[in-house]
Amino acid sequence: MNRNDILKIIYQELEKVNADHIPLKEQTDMTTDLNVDSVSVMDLMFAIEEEFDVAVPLNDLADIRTIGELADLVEKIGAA
Amino acid sequence: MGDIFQKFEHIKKVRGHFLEQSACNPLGIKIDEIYSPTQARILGQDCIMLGTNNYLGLTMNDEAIAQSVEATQTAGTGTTGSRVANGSYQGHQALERRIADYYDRKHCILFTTGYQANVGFISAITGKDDYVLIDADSHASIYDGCKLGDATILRFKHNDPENLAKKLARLPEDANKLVIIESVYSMLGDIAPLKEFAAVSKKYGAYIMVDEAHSMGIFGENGRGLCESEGVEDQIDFIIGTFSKSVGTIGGYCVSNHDGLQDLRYAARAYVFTASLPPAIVAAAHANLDTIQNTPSLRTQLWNNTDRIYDGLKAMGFTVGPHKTPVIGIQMTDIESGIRAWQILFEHGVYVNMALPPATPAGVCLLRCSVCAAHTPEQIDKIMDAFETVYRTLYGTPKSEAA
Repeated sequence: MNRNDILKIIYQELEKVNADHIPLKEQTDMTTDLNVDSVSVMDLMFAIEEEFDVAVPLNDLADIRTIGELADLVEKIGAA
Repeated sequence: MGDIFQKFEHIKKVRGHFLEQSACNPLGIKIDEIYSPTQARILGQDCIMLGTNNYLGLTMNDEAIAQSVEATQTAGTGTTGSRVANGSYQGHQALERRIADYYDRKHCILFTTGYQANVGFISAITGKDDYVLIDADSHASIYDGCKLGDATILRFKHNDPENLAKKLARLPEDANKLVIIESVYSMLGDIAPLKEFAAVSKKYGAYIMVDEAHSMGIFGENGRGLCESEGVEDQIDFIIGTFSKSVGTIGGYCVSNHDGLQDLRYAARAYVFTASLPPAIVAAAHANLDTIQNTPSLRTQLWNNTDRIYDGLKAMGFTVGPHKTPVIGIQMTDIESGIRAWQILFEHGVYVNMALPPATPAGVCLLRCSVCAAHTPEQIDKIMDAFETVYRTLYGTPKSEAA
């Protein structure tokens, strides 16, 4: 599993709900910079889980704010 | 000092949006007077209530009111204490026995609200090494129960037993697993494939809990819910129910055959650290439960009304939920058309709930209707006329007419 592949899926999924077309970067804070709700962030996990065959607990998502942190988390869980 | 309220700015923005567009805010309506389970005056306007969760119209059941008044006169207006302290009256114990017998289960534990039933049960029963698997469209009380507990929480795709199976297959065989689903979902009124979920849970050795908030009183010969009508009750470990829908009052409960349920009386914080239900509520719930079990005609009436409203809306061309239940969620294309539709209905004397993301699935704006057994044929005529005006205003000629 490649970090860039993970980021690609995250960008792709977030773009679907990024109604205000805010530029997406690794530093983008999904909870404050983007006008997306918590459910949208949870929903994008289904695409990631399917693509990389992982299961990400909601507990771990609670601390995630930026796109980069989310990619780190998926990479860590995938490697475990 | 910073502004501690800054975090609510985005909510205020949405609320401002509503106020700009609407003479009255659909999310903040105030009811002047309630005339009957289906009629009220809102902002000076007489309305038919089509957004109440009062499925059987029992909020003004004469017998429940009489029992409730008597209970207040004999036992007072409140218990002022927890069930583990001074708040466990004979009425609470009798009601628990009554509910357990109704479900033919060994144990029942009462909570002060349905919300607390989910929060209390889920947070207490799951420990650090356990896994909880919840449906993606679960009610906020289920999410909150998970958040308060120590277990690992996994979320599976809505109404998708295959996705659940995939998640269960990854977990350690000897770990405790609890699957949580609702039988009827509160926003779109869609129904869970209970048999499939029960089979998957059994295959992977998981406990299964079903929240019957929007199905109790509606499905099953005795009104116990979808587990009864689907014939899967013996495969379900825990059933959570509420008094604030069909039962027409407030309160929540959990029933089970597992003896361990009794341990929750000491472990569930939402049970221990809150006052118990007031005697009036306990008496009303008891009386209405008797009515629910002994009056199947209420269910027949509810389903007849549901047929008319759901089928009528669908025929007109509205996008309704996939299953016909008394919860009818009409999907609007955007918030603006949702507000416009809500206003037209209100001007025509019909009140429905307006539901917005993230409380709704897939980010849709919903006009949420809940059918009541007490809606009269004349009220339903008026409801359908109002919806026809909505359709004509927003979309043109209704499909039923064009056909």
